[in-house]
Parts: sequence; structure tokens; C-alpha cells
Amino acid sequence: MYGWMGRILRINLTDEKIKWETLPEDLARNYIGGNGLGARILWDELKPGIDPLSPENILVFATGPLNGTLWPTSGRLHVMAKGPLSNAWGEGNSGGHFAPYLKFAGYDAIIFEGAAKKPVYLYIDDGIVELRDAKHLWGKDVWETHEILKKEIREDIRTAAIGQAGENLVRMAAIMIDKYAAVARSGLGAVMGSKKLKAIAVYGTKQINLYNKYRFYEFTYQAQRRLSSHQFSKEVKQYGTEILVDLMNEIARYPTRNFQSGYFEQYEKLSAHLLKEKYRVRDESCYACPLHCKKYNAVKEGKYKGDGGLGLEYETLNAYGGRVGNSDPEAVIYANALSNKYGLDTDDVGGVIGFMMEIYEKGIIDKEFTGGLELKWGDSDLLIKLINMITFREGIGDLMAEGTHRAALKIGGEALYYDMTVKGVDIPAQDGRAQKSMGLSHVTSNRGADHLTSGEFLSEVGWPDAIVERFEKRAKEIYGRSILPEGADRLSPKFKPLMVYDSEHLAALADSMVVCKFSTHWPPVFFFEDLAKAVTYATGYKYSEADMRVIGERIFLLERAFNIREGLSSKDDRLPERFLKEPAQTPPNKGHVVELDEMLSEYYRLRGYNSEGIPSYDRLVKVGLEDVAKYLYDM
Amino acid sequence: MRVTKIYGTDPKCVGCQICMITCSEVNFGEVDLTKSRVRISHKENPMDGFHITVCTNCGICALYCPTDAISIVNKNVHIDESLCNKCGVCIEVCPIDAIWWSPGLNAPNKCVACKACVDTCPTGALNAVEVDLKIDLGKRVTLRGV
Ligand code: SF4
Ligand code: SF4
Repeated sequence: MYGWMGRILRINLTDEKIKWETLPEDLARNYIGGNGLGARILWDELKPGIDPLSPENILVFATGPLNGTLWPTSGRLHVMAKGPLSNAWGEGNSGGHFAPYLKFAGYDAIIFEGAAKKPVYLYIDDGIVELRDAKHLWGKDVWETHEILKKEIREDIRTAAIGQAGENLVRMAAIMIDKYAAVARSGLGAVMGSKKLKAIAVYGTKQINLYNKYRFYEFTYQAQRRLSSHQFSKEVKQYGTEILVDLMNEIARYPTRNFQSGYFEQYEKLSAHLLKEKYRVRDESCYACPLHCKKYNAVKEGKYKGDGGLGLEYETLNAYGGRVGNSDPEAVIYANALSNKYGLDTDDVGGVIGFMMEIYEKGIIDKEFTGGLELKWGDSDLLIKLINMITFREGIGDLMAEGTHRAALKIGGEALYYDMTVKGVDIPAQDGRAQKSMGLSHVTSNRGADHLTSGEFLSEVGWPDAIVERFEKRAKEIYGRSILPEGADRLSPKFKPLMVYDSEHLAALADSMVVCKFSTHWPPVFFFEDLAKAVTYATGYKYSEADMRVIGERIFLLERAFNIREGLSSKDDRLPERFLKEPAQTPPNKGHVVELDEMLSEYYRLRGYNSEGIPSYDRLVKVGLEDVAKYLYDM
Repeated sequence: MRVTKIYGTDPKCVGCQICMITCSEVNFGEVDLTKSRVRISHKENPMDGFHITVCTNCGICALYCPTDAISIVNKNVHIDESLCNKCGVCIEVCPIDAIWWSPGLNAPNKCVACKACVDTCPTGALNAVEVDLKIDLGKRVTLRGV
């Protein structure tokens, strides 16, 4: 096989059996890799209705045919299982260097089944695959684990590990790649913890065979340059996602105090310019990426003094910033490093803390409930205390470790109104009232509230050139008119269903290759055609632009079918009431709510969902999922 | 004698490994980072980022090679595989540890100054200049019999 390594590792943790399997050619060809591979494996093998934290759950680490080559941003890894937050499709994606090394070791994917009796870690070095005792690692944080494995094995080993959060089955736990990159959302760290799998350490030296090396590299060198010199790449290189704090506050799209507002009065204290000036140490890139969006921060003095580590992202600058009313950047840097060590998804943790602060403010819970804690907005010491309590499940931390949605259900009553989740997953730092396509995306995403399943960022910026390039043809086909001007207006619900629908296919494709959305979605550089070319030269299978769209849709619908099989339906495609009833307060969005029903019905129509949210039989057959259609329609 | 000096500027390096991928691809026709002639490693303190190891063509190795396998060819300090007896002396004497054994090769792996890494490095952390060779190849040191 070209592009792919052609091998899958299957590890049964219960009886410690390791199996080397061949990657079936039709699977690779039709689903490419990453989320496609994982979706198919989970659909075929996972028993419906199981508890995500039971040994019956299956955890898949998957790469794609471009990983490990020079293709820009090809360092990413996709991880999937049934998610402990949503009880449905769970997935997370991370940068770093792990995926290329997994391929250098000779594997496209690893499937974990069962659960170990005592803590273990998986060691892979080319042909050597061993489950090793992890007694000395259990209880250690991610950074310590990484350092110990490096010393034990070799300097350039790559690791995927959980911290104490995953061990303690915190439903918001992430899997950390090396030290700073998180496989976040969905709570997959808890799945790894439930399997008593502390870490994976991988090293490899095999080469990846490419079908048409000459064309591939010619195209890839070009692609590197195109991405690197794109007009919007400069900002990414300079500030990474930190810059969004400034940009999102300008358009009042920055969730503040659990989405009470989209504008944080003190945002300037968290501004990217200030962070760069005061705390920036250096930049870093993932494998083969020219954008070096990851920024290393450190606090030089004061009570939060210390190594802040890499990758303070916009999401965290909101989750531990505006969302909880905190404007102390040093506390955010500290809390981010702490979360990386514990292996936590900052989005969900900030979400649940914001939720608790709000219901405390509203008098729904009191000091007796919190064990004496006064949950005040913006208390940075409290923020750090709560992160610790959640990780170790102490006091109210135990309830909070179950995630916002479960906590809200348990408290019940009025608290439910403040539960800012979709399908049990916290809404990220993207207020749908300030950008209608985001409001829709949170609902249509298969892994629960999410901005990256569609990655529809073009209307946010309102950049007509790219919008025309991406959607004009489809708009003319479907609606017989131009996508402009409404397509470029983030506050207009018009055309957003189409833009979300189409972007979801591109995103599914990016996650199957597995490349970064900082290349396909923002900056918008590589679309279906570029990916088709790259994967054609790499694998030798001829893909056209149209094939790519079908594959994107196939993967997306298979994930949706997985959710339907788990009992989800249109009733779960709902936003919190706050987004629908409580208008945004700040100009330029003043008065705006999410016109969800209007957008969702059009989206259902485009997707071919029936009123219960189930993909139509014909559509499933059309994208090559006949067996899935038969299952869903009991045939 | 003129040689091409390739040098890295550590603080600019972001660790993307594009140079290593390109080097192995251009010189060996495959992505195999163990064959790359430029190496990116973490510094001890993660805050300090990366260290770039790449041959600067200083020529010191040529002074010590016992079989005179190393000479200047095309402005580059070149190891002639047919003369190399794989003793590893060059690896020992290189002051910046820029020569190493890579699996599957017939001689120590050393930069050939093709400048592919310089062209692809996205941050300008790798550069090339032409300089005069500072050492006198007439003063070769022989270690034979030592
Ligand atoms: S390999 Fe080392 S000793 Fe030889 S020329 Fe290069 S830098 Fe100098
Ligand atoms: S290409 Fe440049 S920035 Fe990237 S690792 Fe090499 S020297 Fe560093």
C-alpha cells in the first residue's frame, strides 16, 4: 500500500493480547483514515448502549495517508471512542508529532479493547510492541510521565498519556500528546483511564511509501509555500489563536460569565499583544507545519510564577478567562499549565466552573452546597482550587467532574436553564448569537457542541472572496442565486445551513487525512481539490473533488448513524434556551438570538434527515452506506 | 578554498522538522528522519526550545580521517564512500557532533550542503553562506598507529 502503512495494531487489554492486522484496502480507500477509519471500526465493532467507561468501549487512535510526509500540518492524530460526556460519538484531534511516529513504527491505527487489571502502558518501537507495567507512572501527571518515559526509553520518544484527571475518570479528561497538545472534547482521557492505560510511547524508523513521489513532493513543496505565505498566515504565526481574544471581543462573540454576555469589559488584560509582550518565551510547530501557531508562555514573578508550557489557546483564554469572569492572564497561564499536567479539557472545565458560578450567583446553590466556598466570578485562586478539586474529585469537585450537563441534571430545577451544553458537551468559546453558523454548528456536530466539526469561520470574518470560492457554485445549484451578500454576514441566518453543511464535509475530510484545520478552514488554503490531489499522489487511488465530497459526507453520516444507534434523535439537536430566548446584549449583535429552527429545518433538508433527525435511506445508499441504511431502517 | 557553510539559528527554530523531512527525502528519496543530515533536538529546559545540529563544513574531520576519504568537492567537505573504512574517527572529532551513523548507510552520514533544508525552513532558522575554508588540508593529522 502507498501512503498508508497497511497495518493496524489491535490490543486487547483484558487478556493482554496483541494482534497485527492488515488494513483492509477498501476500508482505507473509502474512509481514508482518522475519523473515517474510527467511525467504521466503532460502527462495526462497538456494541450499542454500552457504558463508555466500561471495558466494552473501544478506543481507536488513527492516522491518515498524509501523516508523516512533508504535507503541511500532517502531524495530527485522531482519537475516537464512545464519549463519556455525550454517551454518543466521541472524538478528539491533536497536533504534535505522535501520529507521524506511529506511522514510522509501521501502523496506521491502534485499537484498544477491554481493560487492564492493573495500570499498563504500551511501548511501540518498530516491530516491538509491548504492554508494560505502569505502576510507577500511575498517579503521576502528564509532564512527569512524559519525562520518565523519555528517560526510560529514549530522548526522541513520542507519548500520548493521561494525567490524574483521566485516572480519576473525570468526564472532561483529555489525552495529552507529549506534554502540551490535548486530544480534547468528548472526555476520551477518562476512557483511557477506565482501561487503566496510562500511556502510549512510540518510536519508529520505517518509511512511508508514496505512489507518485515526484508529483507528491512537487505539489507538497508548493502547498507548504502557499500555506506559509497566505495573507492570513502572518497573524497565525505571530499570535496563534491568542489573537482571537481581541477579535472576538470586537464583535462581541466572546462568552462572558457563562454566556451572559459576548463582551468582556476587561478583555484587554488577556489581549494577545499583552501576552506576547509580557509572557511569550518562544514559538513551536507541530510536525511539518510552517505556521508555528503554538506559543510558549512563562510567568516570571508573582504567585503564579513558573513554566506555563506551550499552547495557550483562545479556547482556554476564554474558558479560564471571560467565561468565569477572570481577567488575570497569569492565573490563566498557570491554570492552563495545570490542566495540561492533569490532562483536562479546559473548555469543559471552564464551562462547568462558569455554570457553578452562575447558579451560585442566582442563589440556586449556596455555601452549604459548595462546602463553604464562595463561588465568585473572577476569583482566580478559586479557579485553580476548583481545577484541583475536579481532578481529584474532592468536595463539589466530585459532582463537577461529571461535567456541566450531569451536574445540572443532578441539581435540577432552575439550574437547567444555565446548562450551556449540547449533547452533554460544553459549548466552546463561540457564542452562536454573534455568529449564526456557529449556533447551528453546535447542534449539528456529531460530538456535541463544537466549532471544529464544521469550522465555518468564513462568515465570521465575512471574507467574500473565500466565501465565493467555496460556496458560490453550490448556492447557485441549490438556490439559484449568489451566496453574497448574506453569506458573508455572520448575523444573517441565510445560507448558513449550506455553509455549515458543506464545511462539515471538508472538516470530516481534514480529520480523515489527518491534517489541521489551520490550512483547510482558517487560513482557508486547501479545499477538496487540493486534498484530492495530495491523497491521489500519495496513495495511487484516483480521487476527484467530487469523490472527496462524498467521502466527507460518508464519514459525517456514519458518525450521525452511530449517534442514532445510541438513541439520539432530533430532540437532542437543541441549543440551550439562553441562545434562543435571551438576546445578545452588546452591539453589534444587540438583540440577536440564534434562529435555530429556521436554520435547522433547512439543514435537515440539505442533509436528507427526516423529522426525527435520521438520515434518509436513499442518502445513506448514495454515499455508500447501504449496510448502515439497512440497519437504521430495520431491513 | 571556498566552502558552503550551513548554520542554524536556534532561537528561530520552531521544531517543525520540515528540514529533516526534506533532507531525507531529497538525499535518500524517502522520509526517514534517522537519515536526515540535519537534526533538531529539544534543549534540556523546554523553555529554551530546540537545538539545530547541522554541519558547518569547517573541515576538521578531513584533518583526522585516517584514509584521506574526506576532501573538498563542490565546495563541500565530502566523504568518499569507496575510501571510507568506517572507523568513525570523523564522528569522534567533529566539534559540533554533526556527523553520525544512520542505519543502512555505507559511510558516516554527513551533510552534503545541498541547501534543501535552507530552502524549506519556514522560519529562516537555517541559512547558507559561502566562506573560506579556515583549516589547512595540508596539515592532515594521521592517527594511524596511535
Ligand atoms: S562534519 Fe563536523 S567536522 Fe566535518 S566539516 Fe562538518 S561541522 Fe566540521
Ligand atoms: S525547518 Fe527550520 S524551524 Fe523547522 S525544525 Fe528545521 S530548522 Fe527548525
